[in-house]
Parts: sequence; C-alpha cells; structure tokens
Amino acid sequence: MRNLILFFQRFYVFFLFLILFVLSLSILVSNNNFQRASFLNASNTVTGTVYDGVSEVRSFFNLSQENERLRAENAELKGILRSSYYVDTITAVEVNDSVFKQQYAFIPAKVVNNSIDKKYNYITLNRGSLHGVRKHQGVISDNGVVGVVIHVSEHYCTVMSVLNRNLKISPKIDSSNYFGTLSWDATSVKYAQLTQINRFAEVEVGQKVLTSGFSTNFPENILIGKIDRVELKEGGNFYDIEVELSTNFANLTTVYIVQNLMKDELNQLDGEREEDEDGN
Amino acid sequence: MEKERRTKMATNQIFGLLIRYVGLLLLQVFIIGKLHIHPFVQPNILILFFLMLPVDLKPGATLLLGFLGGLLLDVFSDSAGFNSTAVLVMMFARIYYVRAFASIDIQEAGVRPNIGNTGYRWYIFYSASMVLVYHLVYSFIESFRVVYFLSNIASAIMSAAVSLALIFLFQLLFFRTRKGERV
Repeated sequence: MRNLILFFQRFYVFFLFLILFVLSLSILVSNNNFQRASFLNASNTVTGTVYDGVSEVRSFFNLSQENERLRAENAELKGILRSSYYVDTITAVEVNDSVFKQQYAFIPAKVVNNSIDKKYNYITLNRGSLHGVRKHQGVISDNGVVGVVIHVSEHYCTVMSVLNRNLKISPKIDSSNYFGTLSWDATSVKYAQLTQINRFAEVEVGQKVLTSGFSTNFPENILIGKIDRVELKEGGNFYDIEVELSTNFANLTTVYIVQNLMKDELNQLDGEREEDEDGN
Repeated sequence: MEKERRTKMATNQIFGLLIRYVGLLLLQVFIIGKLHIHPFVQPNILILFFLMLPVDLKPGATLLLGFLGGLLLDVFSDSAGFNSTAVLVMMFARIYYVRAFASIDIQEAGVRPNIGNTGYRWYIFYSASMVLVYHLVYSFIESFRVVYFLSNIASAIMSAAVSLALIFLFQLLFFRTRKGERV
C-alpha cells in the first residue's frame, strides 16, 4: 500500500495530466458531437449576454446599411402580399402555401455571434426555446440558406452554418430536379461543393441550386447558390460541382428560423425520422 | 514584517497574472479571433500568457492553470474542449521542455520567460516548439479525423507561424532587452 502511494506521489504530474486530459477530451467529445451541452457554449446565458452587448455596439455602426437592406426587403414583401395569405403574429410570420399544402412560419432572429474563419463554423442567434425554436430547424436569410439549428437554450440558439465541414444538405438543381449532397471543404467562404450529381444530369454553369424539400427543415426552392464550375473526372459517375453561395456570411445580421408547423405530423408518418436525420 | 511583505508580493503577482490573462483573452476573442484571415489560419495570442508563467511554478499548478485557462477561452470562442486540451498538452510539454533545455539560472530564479531575460535564441526555440505543439493538437482534435492529415499539418504550421509573429511583436514591444543581448 505504501509503495502504491509512493508510486502515485512520484508520478503525480503524469497522472494529473492524464486525468485532466481525459476530462477535457470528454468535454470535447460530449459537446462537439452535434449535441453540445449548454454550459460550455455561446448559447449559454452568460456568454450569450456578453456577446449580445458587443453585437449591440457593433450593430450600431451598421444601422444605415441595415436600414436600407430592410427597406428593400419590405418593399419586396409588400409586392408579394397581394397574392399570398399573410398572418402577422408577435413572434413569427406565417405563410400559407396552398400548392404544397405545407405551412411554414418564420421567426426573425438577430445574429449575436458568427464565425467564418474556422473549419467548423457556428452562428449564435438571439432566439431560443421561449420563441419556439427547436433543434434541427432550418435557418435562412433573405439571400439564401444559412444553416441548421443544433442547440437551443431559453433565449439563444446555436446554428451549424453551411460553412461547417460537418453540415450536409441535400439540394437539387433548378429545372432538372437532380439532387445531390452539398458540403463545404473549408477552402473559401464563398464556395461550397456539390457532389453525388449523376453524370447523366444536364448541368450548366450558372444554374441555380435550391433546397429540395425532402427534409422537413427547409421549405422547397430556397436558394442556396449558383453553379460556378463543373468538373467530371474521367470514368467517374458523379460531377464535382463548385457552388457559389448566395448568402454572404461575412455580414450576416438578420436571419429567419424556419418553423415547419406540420413537422410533427410528418414525423409521425415517418416514425423515427428525426433520429436518423442528424441535422440535415 | 518579512512574511507580510512576501504575501503582498504574491498578491501583486497573482493580480498581475489575472490582468494579463483577461487582457489577452479579450484581445484573442474580440480582435484576433475576428480577423478572418483564412479558415486554415487561426492564430492564438493567449498562448503568450501560458508561455510567460514562471518556470518554477509547481507542475500540478502549471497543468491546472493550463486546463482552466484553456477552458475559459473555449467558453468564449464556442469551441468546447479544443483549447483546454491543446493548452493542457502544451503545458505538459512545457514542464519537460524547461527541465531539459533551460539553464540552471533560468530554472532556479523562477523567471517568467520573455525575450529580455532568456535571450533571443532560447526564446525563439522555446516559443516555436510550444506554439507548434498547441496548434498541432488543436488542429487534429478540431477535425478529429485522419482523412485530413496533411491539411491539418499545413493548417497547424500556418497558424503557428502567425501566432509566433504576434507573440514576437508583443515581446519586442514590451520586453525588449536592455542588456544588448543578441543571437
């Protein structure tokens, strides 16, 4: 027994290192595997409040630009009003899309923290479970798709941005309706890569890439970007397509969280669908 | 009297460390972290704080400080566990690096290594090794996949280069030697 104690005493630095190393690795694994525990990330109320304050100051300098953009957006929305059914509630705007018999509500949210310089980028928004935000809901801006909600606290939520090597979206190509897998290779904030498009598909530079509506997170036909470069390796079955993203992540300030009001019904139909989806 | 003086000195030292930590943390989170140079280049200036801890600090305290200091940076940069692991490994390496390569003078006096009191050559090797360890570990646990092996190494080297440049800029600004020590 005494020898054992002496042994631990002698190598205590190594054992302490081992204990701390395992501890931090367990923090890492349990928090970054798509589900991140609330006490250690930016949707935590403490850090969220700090970021809120800083972003408040920052947003002051963007006010005029932001106003102009909102005015343009307002004008555009007013144009649509006549032809669509529009319900204005306190937190969300509901749009009835009678053709697809699907109902989507949009929760406007402000970006309080955003990263674009990492290989795994996340965005924090100032809306949380109190406002109806749930895990796996899609996030869009008026320019296009932004990401998917992966963690929700009471007042904040964390969004896995399109600029994250772990996010996979299945979009389709406009007009031809071929669908593939969109991912990001972390080389440029402007481009994402579209794979799994069959080589028999007709693909041209300049075609739009849209959400496919197969997932319950995004409405169909939300713009993701347009095709910038098409490559077909000799003997390959699939195209390598470079997509120029339509969302400018560098100055993202206002976004909308997509609430699928029929999701429960759809999920009931598909059984345990939500479990398999893993945020796509 | 003597005891009182010593406790006062210790409190001053701890206070100084705290201020330096908070200052570098804010600098890292709100300025360096927002530079957006390239997804592969993510410098970290907070390493400087850990590099400047006194060399005669007890190994246990060194490890704990590294772990907790990294963890707090994680909380602010939304990267749970990345920095705490990387800094912890760096501090573990530092214990043995100092034991192996620091001269007796440096070890016994308990200096806080800076470019002025250790000399250019020693400081360059010391900071370069530590920064490289940090960025290699960070890069690998960030991707957590072997597929990106080469791109991870490239990313670590580029990040380390920028971190080192920042650390040297800081050192030259604040700790320039007065003895005229040269390489």
